[in-house]
Amino acid sequence: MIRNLRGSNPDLPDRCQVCVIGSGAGGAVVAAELAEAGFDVVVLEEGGYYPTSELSHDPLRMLPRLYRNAGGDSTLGRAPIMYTEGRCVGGSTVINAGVCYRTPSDVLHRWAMGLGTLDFMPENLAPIFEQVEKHLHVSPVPQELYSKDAKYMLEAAQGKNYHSVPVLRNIHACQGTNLCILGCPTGAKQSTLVTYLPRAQKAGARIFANCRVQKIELDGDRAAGVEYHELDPLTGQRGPLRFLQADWVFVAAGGTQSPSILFRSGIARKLRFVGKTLFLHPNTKCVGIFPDEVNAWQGSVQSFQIDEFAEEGLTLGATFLPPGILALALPFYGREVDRIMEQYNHLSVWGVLVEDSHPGRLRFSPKGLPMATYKLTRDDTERFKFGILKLAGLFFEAGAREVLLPIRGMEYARSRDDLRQLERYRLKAEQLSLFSVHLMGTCRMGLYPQTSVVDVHHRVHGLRNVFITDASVFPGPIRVNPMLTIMAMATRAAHNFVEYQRRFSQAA
Amino acid sequence: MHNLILKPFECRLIEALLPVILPTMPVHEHRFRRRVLYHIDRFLVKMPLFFRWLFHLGAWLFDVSPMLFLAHTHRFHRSSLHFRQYWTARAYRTSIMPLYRWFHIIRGLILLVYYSQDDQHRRLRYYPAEWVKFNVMNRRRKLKLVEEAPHDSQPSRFQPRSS
Ligand SMILES: Cc1cc2nc3c(=O)[nH]c(=O)nc-3n(C[C@H](O)[C@H](O)[C@H](O)COP(=O)(O)OP(=O)(O)OC[C@H]3O[C@@H](n4cnc5c(N)ncnc54)[C@H](O)[C@@H]3O)c2cc1C
Repeated sequence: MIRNLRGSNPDLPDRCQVCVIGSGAGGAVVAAELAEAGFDVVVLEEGGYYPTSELSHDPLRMLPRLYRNAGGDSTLGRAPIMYTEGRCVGGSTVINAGVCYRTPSDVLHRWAMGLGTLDFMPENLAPIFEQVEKHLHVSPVPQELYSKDAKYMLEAAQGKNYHSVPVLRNIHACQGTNLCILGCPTGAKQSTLVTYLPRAQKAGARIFANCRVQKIELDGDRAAGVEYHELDPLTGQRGPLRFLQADWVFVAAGGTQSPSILFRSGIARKLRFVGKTLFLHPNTKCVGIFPDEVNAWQGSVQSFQIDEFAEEGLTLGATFLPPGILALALPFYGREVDRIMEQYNHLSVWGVLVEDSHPGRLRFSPKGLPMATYKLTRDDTERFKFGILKLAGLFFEAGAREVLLPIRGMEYARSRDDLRQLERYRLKAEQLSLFSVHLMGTCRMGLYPQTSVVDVHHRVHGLRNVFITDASVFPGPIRVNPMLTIMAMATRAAHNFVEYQRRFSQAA
Repeated sequence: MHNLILKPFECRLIEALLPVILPTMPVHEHRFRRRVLYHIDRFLVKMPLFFRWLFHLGAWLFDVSPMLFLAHTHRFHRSSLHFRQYWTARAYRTSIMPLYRWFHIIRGLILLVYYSQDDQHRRLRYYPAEWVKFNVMNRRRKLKLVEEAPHDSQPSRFQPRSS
């Protein structure tokens, strides 16, 4: 049973072999692999435990429970980017769209060259990807689950001869509830909540929800354990500080929190690259208003992607937002918001994701809370303009009568003439309203402590028993959705760790 | 509400204010409620712009870059940054930024709460509760699930909240 702690609890662990911080894509995989290899594993998770039966369609209920800061974080800089991360048992995998792509080969080649290891060559990672995909039931979205607006987009893309691919998702008997971002209420999405975590538990791992790790306690070049607070699930108030002694610590707290834990532990003083490189695949959305009802809420959240512009680092796709979230994401206010919302069933939200060319960074308050700063480059701004033009073009091709653009000062496109005007327009970064859900690279992997945080075995430079196995170790952006890559890298790290320990004990 | 970035007293304040600034009682006419919403929304969008403008004016008068509110990092403290610049930056960070953030948080909350109400869902003809219930049943039938089903034992969860 996963422990959802309420109040002070005498059963809290004080000793284990492996402590895993975080139960998302990286943490759950490591926990399952190591528990199955016979290690005594404890998972400490800051968020609460919400099994499938407690997930509902109500954003007011689910946002504060499943999202860090109820999903309202934002970077500072030009332009501010709203970002969200999961905070619950299962991490961001509970609230993501479940899109599963392997890392593109060109990215893996680059990593293998830069890191000087053949492990990252596509053919060497392929068996690991296969293993993860099998466990997650990764499969293409069936045609009958395409929502009406997705079909419109597909037809428009075919009309323009754009190349598109069916999206691969971790789903098992998906019904197209289209509530992925609030947690799948049918249990069809194969998040770590219903896959890796039950597997870890079966193998003996102990999982504690509502336990926030404050810092890793260091003893020379080793970690002695971690200090953590119990959190009250209702008020979020912290209980007394506790200590968990551990032989090995695996940090998998996500793109912004892993570097914060390192900062609070004093590790960032020696490794200057902690938080220095933040990639976040910024994205933006256009809203099309169709003359007929499209009922975008009936169908799969993402059914296919247009990868015609992959070489330019752009991916286009249809997505969906419930009314409450759509209303606050619209770049309008007052009466205009309601005019648009009144046509909710005629609205369709299509997005474009850009592979960022330049990193932002994390800064830390003296208490170790992260604050992201990010400046969109001129080049990326131009790519956004290109992507928005393509999306709006697709909308008109599909028969939309009006397109709402995410550009301050140029919010409407009512005909192709308006798009021609946008083409000539010199767009500034601060006019865009941007979002991100893929935060990565803040504890990047590399060969040298001067320019990276972990080595190719995911071990923190200069520390013998601290590993990082989440999105933060990516050496750079990967253009596609990162969950599968994180899971494959975490699997590789766990296998290497087990193999190393086996050899070490044999030698001893 | 408690899980937001807000401090506990801020949460209590919003919880107390929401029913006042967002009348959701069914006795109100929809149109009246919406008009209230427009005005609140307009106000909340315009005010931060005013504060931002005020800060830029201050920054221009005192000759500091608006981004200097990042001055709380350790290195800045020890550097030879001019006293006046430091304090202007600090004023921005401690008073104007939180205000700016506050307006946006409240606005976001109001819109989120307003458009997540069941009666609004009905007005927009969006029926997630029924849709979820239908799909849960479908999936169970498809997978021939026979074990204890939490969804069946709590049917009330999928019914619209009382309005
Ligand atoms: C809305 C949304 C949609 C997405 N859609 C997709 C998609 O379709 N496809 C895809 O591939 N990716 C998607 N992603 C991204 C993907 O889900 C994440 O990149 C991935 O889950 C990150 O894995 P992680 O292990 O790094 O962190 P997470 O999965 O976020 O897990 C980190 C966990 O650590 C916990 N934690 C943090 N700090 C502490 C602490 N101090 N103590 C204890 N625990 C802590 C957190 O609560 C969290 O549960 C999406 C993300 C979001 C938010």
